[in-house]
Amino acid sequence: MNPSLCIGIASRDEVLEVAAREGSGNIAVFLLPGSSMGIAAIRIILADYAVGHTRVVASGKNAIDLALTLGNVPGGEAFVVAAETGKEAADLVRYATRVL
Amino acid sequence: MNVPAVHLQAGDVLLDLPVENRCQLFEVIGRHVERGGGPSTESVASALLRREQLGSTGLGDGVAIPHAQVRTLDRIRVFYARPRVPLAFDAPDRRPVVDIVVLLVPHPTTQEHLEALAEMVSRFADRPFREMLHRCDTSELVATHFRRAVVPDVCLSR
Repeated sequence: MNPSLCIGIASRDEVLEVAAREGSGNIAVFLLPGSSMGIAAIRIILADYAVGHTRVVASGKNAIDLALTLGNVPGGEAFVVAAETGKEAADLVRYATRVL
Repeated sequence: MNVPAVHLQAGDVLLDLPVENRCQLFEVIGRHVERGGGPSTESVASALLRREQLGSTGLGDGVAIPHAQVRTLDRIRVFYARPRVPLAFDAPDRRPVVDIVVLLVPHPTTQEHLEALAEMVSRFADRPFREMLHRCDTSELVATHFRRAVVPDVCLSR
């Protein structure tokens, strides 16, 4: 099942590099603070798509925590991948779309 | 120097709002938009409320960022609202909200929309920014604070 929204998160020390790809296929890339507020912002973006199927792919620091937190939304699924899979968030989104 | 994704105008700063809940807040925002020649009060208020019903837009630390798609807009609009009393917003930390940034977007999940959201989140994640903002007691001072504060780096392509 293709997700209506796919989010890749490359987690670093104090910043979350986030890439979002929605139905049209365009990938938007942006930075959020690596704090509870940044995570809340990603939950908000996921909730925008609550009627659809969402997929989160995380790598890097605290990736497991991110996946556990963000995968717990209705219609959502979350994956943790090795950092070697993609250093940039956009790479993670492409990987998630192509492979997972 | 980073360029802000959206510009907050002093005329779009609403302070000391006598509202007691999200519905009343969204009505006030809707009326403000309509008075400025934008979409109707009902369309704006109902769009914000529908989005809020999907999940709270509270970020924690007394900040919320309600947003909605309003197709008749030709550009992103941003508003800052400060209620007279903190509002319950079902935020992740359960704290009531004192800083409210409203984003109205013509299309969701575009680079522009997400940059605007990321910029506001990054600004409000900075405690000194919030503390200074709370000392601004006029619309002009609030807008000036937004304009003068360092624009956070939220975009990788700039």
